[in-house]
Formats: sequence, structure tokens, C-alpha cells
Amino acid sequence: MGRGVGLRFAGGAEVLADTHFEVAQGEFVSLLGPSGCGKSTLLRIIAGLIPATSGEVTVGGIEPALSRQTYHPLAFVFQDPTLLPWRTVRDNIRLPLELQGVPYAAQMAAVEASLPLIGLTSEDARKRPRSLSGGMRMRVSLARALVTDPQILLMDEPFAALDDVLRQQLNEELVELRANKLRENKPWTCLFVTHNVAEAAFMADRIFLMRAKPGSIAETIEVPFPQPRTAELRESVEYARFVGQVSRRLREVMAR
Amino acid sequence: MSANPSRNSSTPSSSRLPAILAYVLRTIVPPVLLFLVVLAYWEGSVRWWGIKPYILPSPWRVLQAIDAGRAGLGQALLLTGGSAITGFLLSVVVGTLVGCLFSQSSIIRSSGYPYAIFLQTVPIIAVAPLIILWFGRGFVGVVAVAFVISLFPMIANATAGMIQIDPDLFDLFRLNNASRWQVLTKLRLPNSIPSLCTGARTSSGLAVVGAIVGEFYAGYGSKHFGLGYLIRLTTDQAKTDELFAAVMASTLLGIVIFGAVSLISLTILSRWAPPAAGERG
Repeated sequence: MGRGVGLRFAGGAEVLADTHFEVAQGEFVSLLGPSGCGKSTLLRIIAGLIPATSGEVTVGGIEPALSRQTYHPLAFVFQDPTLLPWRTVRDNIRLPLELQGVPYAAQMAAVEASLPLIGLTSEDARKRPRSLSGGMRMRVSLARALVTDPQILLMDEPFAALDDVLRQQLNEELVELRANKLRENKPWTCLFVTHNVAEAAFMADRIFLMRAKPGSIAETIEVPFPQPRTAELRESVEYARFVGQVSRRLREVMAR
Repeated sequence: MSANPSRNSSTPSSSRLPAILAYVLRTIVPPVLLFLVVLAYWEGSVRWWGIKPYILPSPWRVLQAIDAGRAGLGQALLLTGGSAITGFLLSVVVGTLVGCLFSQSSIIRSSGYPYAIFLQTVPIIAVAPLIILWFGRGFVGVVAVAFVISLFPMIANATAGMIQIDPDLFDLFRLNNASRWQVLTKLRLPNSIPSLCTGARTSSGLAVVGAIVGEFYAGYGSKHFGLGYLIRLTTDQAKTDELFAAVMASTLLGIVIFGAVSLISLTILSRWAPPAAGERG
């Protein structure tokens, strides 16, 4: 997917340098690293929102911006819910379809189908974002990403602002949704940016450990637990040990 | 009797009243009371010191002047109000369009904005004769003055509302291949509603000033005149009580227009994004 990717801003600061990576179709990869290591930037390069200044990034063999418009529809979940306050939940969720010119009836059908997936009722759908809790807003943001039936799901610390219990719950739901999609033979390829080790380990097949200044992928760690994972995994000794090991590796990478 | 009867009786009832009415009670009643006190003091002073009516007419004389000239005052109020509202509405439309244009590129913005600021800094009283010269000594000229003075707040607020947007939202629109037009109509314009309302409130007050200043130099024909003309005429003729009447009518006009625009803004804003628990679609 990426070979020697780098990004240098016009001002001279090098955000990413010589980053190599490959993500298989249907894989879940967590990008784990300290603040300022360029994980969000890398995600935006893969989304085709900003161009790399060196190296090459391809999605399905073609450049990212072209890919998302043709063969591999992509959805992006931002760190903040980024909802439009003047629209109801329902109208927020259907926004991507509306922008893509999908007929109204099909938009509404897709919204109705996506609501239960993400734990929203049709009463919630009539509300405005302002009257929802932070967790609910993030659910709406997720539903908006899923409504387009994406093949690639890029998530930029979506649960960073939520409390631990809510975060764990949403982690579990995401794992379950992904397993369901796999069963429907519509696998998601997920890249999940986080700085939370437990979160990265719980969901991912592989973890990319990133270092900062300039950012690059320092190490790739396979996560040895079978999918789909459930809440019980968190209580296992193996998981606790694994999270501990990843944390230590991360500290070592940061110290280098 | 209780020590503070008015407070005791108003507290429970105001909690049952709609929020807007409570707001009106809280913000309008105290200044009106102060106004009545000042009025009483004014009347008393004029009588006590025997001040000449052409220097300072008593409120009673002003009231008599209002009553005597009410047909003319009413007509002037309508004409000036009509010009101010027309100028203001033009500002809203043109200001929003200019905001749309300015939001399209920073080059357009940085080339155009200095001229928008020029509108803000040029003293309206100084350019009004020029505007009247160009647009004629009638309704169009007066509207043009009201328009020019009220345009800048609309441009400034529309532009701000259309460019101060979370960058992630632009990314979201880009990721879904939104066109420039979609970004404008589905993101920039709705996002600018609150600042458009702020601009409209400022603008509406200025439009009244503009219309009156315009009428210092232009009229509506020999039989019809606005408040600005009335102010000039009564000043020249030292009819101070009538001047007071005209000034009070001008103030009333300003308050009514500003109040109406504020009320419309509040209504729009509460529909745009109602605060918590709002569930209207």
C-alpha cells in the first residue's frame, strides 16, 4: 500500500519520512504512537486528502483520491463527531449519500438500515446533534461513515474523547460489526489511529508502532488473538500481558 | 402587606411565561421606569426654571406637537421606514452574495475586502450628497444611502460565517466528492446563519441612520417627506418641539426595526439549531 512515504510541509518541517507499509484487504490495523508522530497525517494521505511529498501511496494499485472515487469507496471517521448542528441526526447520516447524488428514497432506506447497527433509535434520528451526549454523537458519526457501505474505513482517534467504559463498548461493537460484514462477504479494511494501547490491541489484527520526529512506522506487531473478539478477552491474562508488552515496545520506540 | 409585593407577584408568574416574554419583562420594564422618571424630572425642570420652548420644550409640549403633526409624522415614519427596510433588505441580499463570493478564494477575499472596509470607514454624512447626486433626489437615492451604510456588517459577518468552519467538515465534503456548489449551499450558507443574524441586527440599525441622513439631502417629491427632511426643516425654523417629535419618531423607527429583526433572528436561530431537547425537523 505505501512505499517510502514522506511528507514535508512547505515550511520545512518533516512530518513523515520513509514510511513503508502494506495493509491486506479486510485487515484491521491500528496505528499506535505518541502525539505528533504523524499518524493522522498518514491516514489523510491514504484517504487522498493530502498528497505525499515523497514516496508513493496506492490503494488497490491506484492513487488514493482516484481509488476512493472508483473501486474502493472509503469512509473517514474524524476525532470529533463533526456533525452539522442544523441537521437532524437522520439528515446528518444521509449527508454522504446526498452529496454523492443518491436518490432520496434510497438515502432514507440506507439511513434506516444503519441506525440499529450503531445502536440508534428512530427517535434519536429526529433529534439535533446538540441534544445528544458525546457518545451518541460519535455513534451518529460512525453511522454516517457506514451508510455509504465503505470498503475502507479510516478512523482518526474517534473514541479519544469518550470515557473508558463507553470506549470499550464501542470497541466491542465495532469488532462485531466488522465480523458481520465479513460474514456478508463485504469485508472492511480498517485503519484505526489511536494512542491507547489497550484499544489498539483489542481490535486490530496488526499494530503499526509509530515513532515521531519525523514520523514513521518503527515496528509491526501481530496481535495473536482470534477474531471476532469479545469483552471476555479483556479479562484474560494473555491480553493483559500482551498489552503490557506492546506498551513497553512503544516506550522503547519512543526512547530511540 | 409584604415588603416587596411586585417581586413576590412577578416571580411565580414569570416562571410560567414563555422564555421570550420573561426576557422582555426583564429587559424592557426597568428602562421604561427610568424613562418615566427622567420624563417627570424634565417636565418639572422646564416648568420650574421657565426654559424657553425653542431651547428645550417640555415633554407635554412635545406630546402636543406629536398630536398636532401626527398625520405628517405618520407619513414620514412610513416613508423613512420603507426606505430603511428596502436599503436593509438589499444589504442582506448583496452582503450574503458578496460573502459567498469572498468565501470562494482567499485571493478574491484579499482583493475585495479592503474596498468593503472602505464602506465601513467612509463617513456616511460626507458621501451621502454624492450618492444622492448619482442615484437621484428621491426614494432610490435615500435607499442607496441606507444600503451603503448597512452593507459592511452584512459582508463582514457573511464572510466570517462562510469561512470559519471546522476543516474536518471540508474534508468530509471532499471525501464524498462534493461540488463547490454543494459546499456552498449545504455547508457554508447554513453555517453562516448565526453570523448573518448578528450582521442583520447591526445592519438594520444602521439602515435607519442611513435613510434619515439620505433624507437630509433628498425627498420624495413636494407633498411627501421623511423624518430626515422633517428634522432639517424644524431645525431651520426653530420649531424645537416639532424637532423633538421627529427625533422621537426616528428613535421609535429604529427600535421597531431593530426589534423586529432581532425577533426574526431569534426565530430563525431557534429553528436552525434548537438548544438541547429540540426535536423539530
